[in-house]
Amino acid sequence: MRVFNTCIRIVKRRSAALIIYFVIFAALSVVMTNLSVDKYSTDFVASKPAYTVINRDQESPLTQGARELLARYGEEVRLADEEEELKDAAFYHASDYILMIPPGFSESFGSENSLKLETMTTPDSAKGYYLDSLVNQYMNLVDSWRILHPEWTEQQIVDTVLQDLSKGADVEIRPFGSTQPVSEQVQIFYMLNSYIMLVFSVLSLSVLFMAFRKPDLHMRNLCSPLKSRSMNLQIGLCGMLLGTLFWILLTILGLFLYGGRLEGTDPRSLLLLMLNSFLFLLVSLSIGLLAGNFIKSGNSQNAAANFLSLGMSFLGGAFVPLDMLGAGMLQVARFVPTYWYITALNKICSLSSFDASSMKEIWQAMAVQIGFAVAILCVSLVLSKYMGQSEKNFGAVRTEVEL
Amino acid sequence: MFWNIYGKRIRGTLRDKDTLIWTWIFPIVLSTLFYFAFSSLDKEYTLSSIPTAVVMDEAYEADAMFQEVIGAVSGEEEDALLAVTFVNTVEEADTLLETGEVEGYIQAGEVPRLVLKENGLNQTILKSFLDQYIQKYSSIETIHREDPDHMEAVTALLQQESFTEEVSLTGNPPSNVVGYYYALLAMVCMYGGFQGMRTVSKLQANLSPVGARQTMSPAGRFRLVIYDLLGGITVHFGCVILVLAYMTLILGVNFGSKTGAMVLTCLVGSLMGVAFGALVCVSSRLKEAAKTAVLTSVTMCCCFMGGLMVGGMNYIIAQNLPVLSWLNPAARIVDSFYCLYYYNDYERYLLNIGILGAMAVVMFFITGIFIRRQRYESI
Repeated sequence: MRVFNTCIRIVKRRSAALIIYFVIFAALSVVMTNLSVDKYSTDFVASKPAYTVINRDQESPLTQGARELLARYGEEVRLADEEEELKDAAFYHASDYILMIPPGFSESFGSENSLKLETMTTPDSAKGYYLDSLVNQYMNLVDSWRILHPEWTEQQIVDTVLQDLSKGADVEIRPFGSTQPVSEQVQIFYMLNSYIMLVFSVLSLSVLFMAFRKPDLHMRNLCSPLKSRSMNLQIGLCGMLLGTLFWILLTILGLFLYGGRLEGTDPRSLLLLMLNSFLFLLVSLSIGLLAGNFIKSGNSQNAAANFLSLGMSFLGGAFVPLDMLGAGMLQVARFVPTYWYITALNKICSLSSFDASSMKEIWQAMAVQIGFAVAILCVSLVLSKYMGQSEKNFGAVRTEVEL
Repeated sequence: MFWNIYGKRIRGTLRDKDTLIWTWIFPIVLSTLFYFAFSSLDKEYTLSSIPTAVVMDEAYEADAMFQEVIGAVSGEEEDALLAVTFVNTVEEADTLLETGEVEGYIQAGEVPRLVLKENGLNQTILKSFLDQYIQKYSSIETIHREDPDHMEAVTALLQQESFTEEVSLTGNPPSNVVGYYYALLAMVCMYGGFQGMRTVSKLQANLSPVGARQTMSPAGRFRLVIYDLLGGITVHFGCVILVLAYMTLILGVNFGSKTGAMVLTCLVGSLMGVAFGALVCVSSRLKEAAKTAVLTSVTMCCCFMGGLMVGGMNYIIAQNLPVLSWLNPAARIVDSFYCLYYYNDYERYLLNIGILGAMAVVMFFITGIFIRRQRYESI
């Protein structure tokens, strides 16, 4: 196992880059978790868009009422009344709805020249529409009560309106099927997994190949008593071991980060998720093997790792939901293994029963992944044999300026 | 001598396939992927008709007012709030809900009832629509009860006057997509590091055979470095401009109309990138592979914090860790492009450009100090 041991030593020396990728990935997962909200619940939970109130008028029962209403239905984001800060918040969706109360608004309300409230949202934003409709409903009710009871104080009117606004429709959430779907955070974690597994496979396998393909070393190894097949097998074994270790580490990270969210999820769904990601690991390793044949320097190694992983992740739906890709792009995406991984993942995450018909598409997508892994492995073996014999592999060290 | 070194450097770079792949082809492929992947990203946040089922049972048939309201908010028009499918039984509605054809269904009654499959923004809007109907209906009832002749109040309620108006503080609308392209351009600028690295490593005798030969040449070391760096900057600037042109002219990404300032950002960004690479490479102890690793991982980290992988990350960091944001060159490049797109004045833009320029000067200065008097006892 001399080659195997050497492989392990090489990986140890180059572990810094792999650890950096792992840390970035872990940080990315934590950020993404905070951004997404679980859709599944047996009770209705309203979405709470972010809003900001900028009051340029004096505080009055009318403006206090508007604040109270918005606080019921949204999350307040406090911003300073500075144009730059408001613009930035609107651009980056830090605040979905900025309500600006102009000076003299409360005083002018109800008169002929009543001022309008100013709002700032992204054009046609759904969240903006939602909060805007609430504010308008509030103002309309205040206006009606003011007409009906001119003798009432503003506080009385606002109190009555806020009470009116507490009335609402009955809502029922009907979870179909018998099991709770997998939490969205876990789904996102596994989506991002495909990216990091590809990066890792290409980087780690190419590190090994690069070391053994140096012209002088390669020539020396060719005339050693060790059979070429045994050498390749040992390199492959090391790659497989590394991949599996990485996969276990990722799974543990997932359980550590999202263990609490998995309560109530069927363990079978969890096993399916792990199986799916393990199959994708096999695909990634075979892609790494294939890429390893072409990679000859540190530069092209990073380029290949990023090219393949970013490209496949974008096309396969790991970063952007598949339904946002056009029909034409979806046809192309079917030729990318990530597409099948994500398809299986999406199906597993929305699985409500484990009967044959629901499972059929999952098995299908998994089978396609195995097919990809075998096909790419075959191609890379043939290529490696062909390229191992080619003259290019034995170039001399150059000492001239490369023009 | 200038043209000799400068020209050869440019030719040499153009024939270096590795760097070309990184700085030319990679960003172009990535921006094309962005183009296809993000084409409907802006639509994700916009309001579109919510697919809803309405059960036409006895209660619905008996409630003329509810029928009228449903009719008013649904229809074929694009701006209709609901895309309604009428069904006869609750079972039919359940099937539509389970298969995901509708986001919820409504049953009329004394208090209308909404049945959903999951929580979400569309579901919240549906609930809010029904709530508002109930609130308005109950208020009208109260008004009738208290003062049947006071129709003015009812009219005010039914007219649903708008008390708000949208103001826009900027010429270009906010966009979820452009930030990704800005971050990509920042990444390309920072990849100028490969050019800086090449210059320094090919001039350090212990790093490459070419470096050993060049060190022995009679040309002044300082001049060699400056001419070579100029060649690297020229090629890299050309590359950033090419990527920018590809994005604006072929993909049609809207960067605003301040072309001159955009080109200036690319130039300063390239300078900063090249200076960064030269600085990383100046240490004679690290091996080339380690320097490449440092360069790519720092670039990737900066770009992540600049919003390349998660849109808006630069804003989150600027809000919570402002110092880190000001020191991150990728975030400064992204912010410069953002200012050009979104702001009418140049104040913040010039501040960004100033910071980037200062970073480049400091980095070149430190590099200069290090390579000025390097001598080798043995290589």
